Amino acid sequence: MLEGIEFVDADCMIGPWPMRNLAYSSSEELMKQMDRYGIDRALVFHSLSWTYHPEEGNMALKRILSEGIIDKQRLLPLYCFVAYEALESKALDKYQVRAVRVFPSINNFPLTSWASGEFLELLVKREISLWVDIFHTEWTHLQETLITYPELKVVLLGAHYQDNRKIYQLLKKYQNLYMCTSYFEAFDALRYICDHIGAERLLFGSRMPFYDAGAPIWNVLRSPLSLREKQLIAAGNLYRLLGKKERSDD
Amino acid sequence: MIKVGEKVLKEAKDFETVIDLHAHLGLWSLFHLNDPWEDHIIQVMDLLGIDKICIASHAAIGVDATLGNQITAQAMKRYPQRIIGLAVINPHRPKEAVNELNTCIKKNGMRGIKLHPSMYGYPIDGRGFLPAFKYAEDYGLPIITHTDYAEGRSGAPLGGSSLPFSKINVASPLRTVEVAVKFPNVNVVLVHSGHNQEGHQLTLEAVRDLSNVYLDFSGTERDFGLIEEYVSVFGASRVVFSTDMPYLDPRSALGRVTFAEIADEEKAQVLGLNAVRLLRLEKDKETNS
Repeated sequence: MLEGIEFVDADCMIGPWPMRNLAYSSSEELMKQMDRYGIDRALVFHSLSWTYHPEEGNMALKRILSEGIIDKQRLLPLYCFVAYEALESKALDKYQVRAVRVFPSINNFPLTSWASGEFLELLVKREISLWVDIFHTEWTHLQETLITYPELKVVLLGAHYQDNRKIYQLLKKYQNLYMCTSYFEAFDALRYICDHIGAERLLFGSRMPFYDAGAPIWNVLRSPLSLREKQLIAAGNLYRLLGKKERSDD
Repeated sequence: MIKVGEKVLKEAKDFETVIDLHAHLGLWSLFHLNDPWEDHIIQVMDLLGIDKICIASHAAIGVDATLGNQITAQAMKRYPQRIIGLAVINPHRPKEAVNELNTCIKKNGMRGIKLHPSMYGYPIDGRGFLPAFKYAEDYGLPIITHTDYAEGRSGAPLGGSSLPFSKINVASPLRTVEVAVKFPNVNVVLVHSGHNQEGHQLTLEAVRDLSNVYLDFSGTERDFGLIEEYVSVFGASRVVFSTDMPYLDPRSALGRVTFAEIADEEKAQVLGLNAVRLLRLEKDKETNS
């Protein structure tokens, strides 16, 4: 808790990274960093889902969370999928998910109805939210997904301040779009978004272990927002997407 | 102050002097800026505990140096105790540089020189920037210069810009350091310290033995542990605080310092004391007293 506000990280990774040594790779090390920053819980995916195959990462993540040596309450799994492969293997049943992440460009499938339609329809049917980084898809594919599946809640990661004109328009036009603040550092932007779009559409995230978590934390804590707006961004909106009650009440 | 677990961390308001060494002013073509003018900027500074801000207007860094310097000077006049102007030159017009700098420094009271090789599409080690370094040497001014790094890529390292980042690595840390070597009496601040992860690492290697080079950690590529690494390798006296406001939100840079695992004395240097020295603000205090 920071100043009485629960913080749950919506953009966080564990696992090894081939390109360089990162600040941490294990769940224990992640939780030390969470303590350092005052982050209560984190929605985590495993790096192997990105660098190897989503299913390999999912299995690694499930193993870690079932080992019992960590405080399971603090780490929430974000399982990752290749759209049509997940349908064939019925992987969504296996992991009992409320949120899924995809890496379209890495796994070489477009986030479009012709390539991912059945998968996206299943997400809608089961009220599962979709998480995607703009580095891994295209703006036009994102827009097509939002308009074709208006009941599908989509969380945009990797939103960069220089793309804010596109982001603001998408947020205004499509009520099913949410944005993670982990990479978004536009000037006085949280106040601006709360005024023009609404605090319900923002999720706090750190982008650890690549990036420092102090910046997005301070953006929430020291922006001129009401306590309720801060609570929603810091944890409330994420809990709502995951079908959980606020304040870690599972 | 903020309590994090059992620890209590100081924030900007708890330090005596907080000076933002690199910021801007005004509209920009590429993206939306939320009221990027001096009244709003000062309001945000008051909210966050930033005492002074060094500004080179957006117009100056990439559109028209003379027009932009005038915009900076007007803002300085409105907030003389808060806004410190940085003069900008156009490297494609080196013959005009000394006149422009005289207007900015001697007439309008600016305290440093801001260079932007990428925006002007001109290498930092080219002849067009030489007058700025010579002027800085003659008058004891700091050079605060943009750096970035994009090996093998043409176009923008800053994310698909339509602006004229057409030359590869005109602002690379290596090139910048080579100029700093030629002007050992000029303090050179590497804005963004190479900008991305590769650039940060290059910077670390390139500036190890240079006492006149300072590192600025602003930017969206906020590599985990970067501030701690810079302070550990170079000492806190060589690391400076800047926000890049109003491109970026100043809370980002402040949050990074607040949570950085360095001593409070080191944070005090980073947040303001180094800038006081670089900008020679002690002399103002002595004169005023």
